[in-house]
Amino acid sequence: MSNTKEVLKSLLMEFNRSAGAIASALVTRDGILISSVLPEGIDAEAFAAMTATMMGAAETAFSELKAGAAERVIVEGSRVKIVAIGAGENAILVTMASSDAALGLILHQMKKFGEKVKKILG
Amino acid sequence: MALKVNIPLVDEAVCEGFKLGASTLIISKPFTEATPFAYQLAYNWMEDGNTVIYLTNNKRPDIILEDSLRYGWDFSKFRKEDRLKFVDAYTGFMGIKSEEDYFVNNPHDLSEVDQVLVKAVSDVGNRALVIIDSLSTMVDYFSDRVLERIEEWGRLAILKDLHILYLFVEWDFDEKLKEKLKEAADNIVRLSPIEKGVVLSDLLIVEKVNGKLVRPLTVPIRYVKPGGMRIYVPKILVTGPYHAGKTTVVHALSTRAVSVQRRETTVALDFGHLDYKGFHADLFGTIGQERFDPILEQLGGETLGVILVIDSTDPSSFPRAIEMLHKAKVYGLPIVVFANKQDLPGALPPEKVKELMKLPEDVPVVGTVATKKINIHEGVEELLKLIFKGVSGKT
Repeated sequence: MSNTKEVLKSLLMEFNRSAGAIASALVTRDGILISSVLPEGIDAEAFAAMTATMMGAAETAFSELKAGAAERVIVEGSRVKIVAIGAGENAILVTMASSDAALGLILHQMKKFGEKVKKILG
Repeated sequence: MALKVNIPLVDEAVCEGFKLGASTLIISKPFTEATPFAYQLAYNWMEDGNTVIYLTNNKRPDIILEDSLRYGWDFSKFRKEDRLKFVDAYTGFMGIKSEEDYFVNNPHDLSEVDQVLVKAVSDVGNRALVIIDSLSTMVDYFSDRVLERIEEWGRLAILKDLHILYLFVEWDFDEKLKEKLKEAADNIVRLSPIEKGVVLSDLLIVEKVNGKLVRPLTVPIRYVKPGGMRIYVPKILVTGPYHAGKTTVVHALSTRAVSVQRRETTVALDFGHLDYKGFHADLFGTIGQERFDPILEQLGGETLGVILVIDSTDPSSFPRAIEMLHKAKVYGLPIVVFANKQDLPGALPPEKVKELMKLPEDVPVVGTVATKKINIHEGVEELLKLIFKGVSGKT
């Protein structure tokens, strides 16, 4: 088990390939980076912190509206889209894909990989 | 004269050990990098005007030059000054001629490796740092025959005023042999991964200093590029009431910071990297207004220390400050209070702030002016002292 880090990293790489994503990361719900496969020059820790805040804000908005649980956050930009979903109790899986990537495929793969991550992180 | 990592906490813990005429064994787990640590010691040593002899048996010398440059250490300038000498015991494995002055034709021959190394030492003269990268590769090839050589090199170290640094990756080696290697070393530093909850990180553990086993100094570390090894604090929470100066504090302390702001007010999070005296910390600045408190609760998790920023001119906000600590569930963690805006008329002195907030005696309150960066680094130093209190054998 000494290399959970390595396992998660290769899992994320595989995820990027299968979902056609540019980048992905696993972060704790309180904003600390667990593992990431991001392009050079991106501040992974800052990205992790912002992802958790985004997710937290969405969940808070939902609970204020008494609208049940927030399942995922999707942000669509002019060049990319970002999708974040919960992966187990403590982690969030976040991914970035080009704006014309198939959202259905991404969501499907995210769910699948979220389950795997859940198992690895216990 | 001693080797330095330039992380004061670590240097203090091993200062007596990292001297000349001694040896250090760096044990690392597979997948935990130890070579950058050796580069860092080597670079600081050469910066101080000294010489390094670097024996490599697992990569080409030019890879070492390239590798170290990625951390911001330019070894080539020392090479030009003849203060970095490679003993190339790697190229020979491939049957290619090396361009290095000290070249082992047949790296499978331990006595040739020894001869070339000893030649390099006697040419270079005294007071050199000798790096053996790696001892594990040597053990792979020569198994326990290595022990005799280590003993001889130990004597050479005393005779010639050397410090010998052995890099050892802990693959499946014979336990008895490992014990003997550990016995032979004057100092032992271990690098190993930890998994605490879902946070994965590496630890640096100083186990033996100056021939004596010590109560281990254990600190979380990471490598930053450029810069090298730092003690890593994944989360310091910067919190406090609305308009106290939290964002200014995060930005003033950070080498790089990002904020989600609407006009002058933070609406999501300030985030920054602090790089200070061998520490690397990620700073999480929260939002002040009460309506954002649910996010505050969420961001409080996994915090190792807290900077509570308050506006010293506004005592009516003090109860809110204490309330925020409770909401973020960080009350009781190491904390330092920044009594900010000390330059404004009507600012209460730190002692008065402490009294009004009814803070425990051991909570440091530092008078700061974040806009002018006054006292903020001193404040962080207080916090880091609290976080790492008791990690070292010495206090």
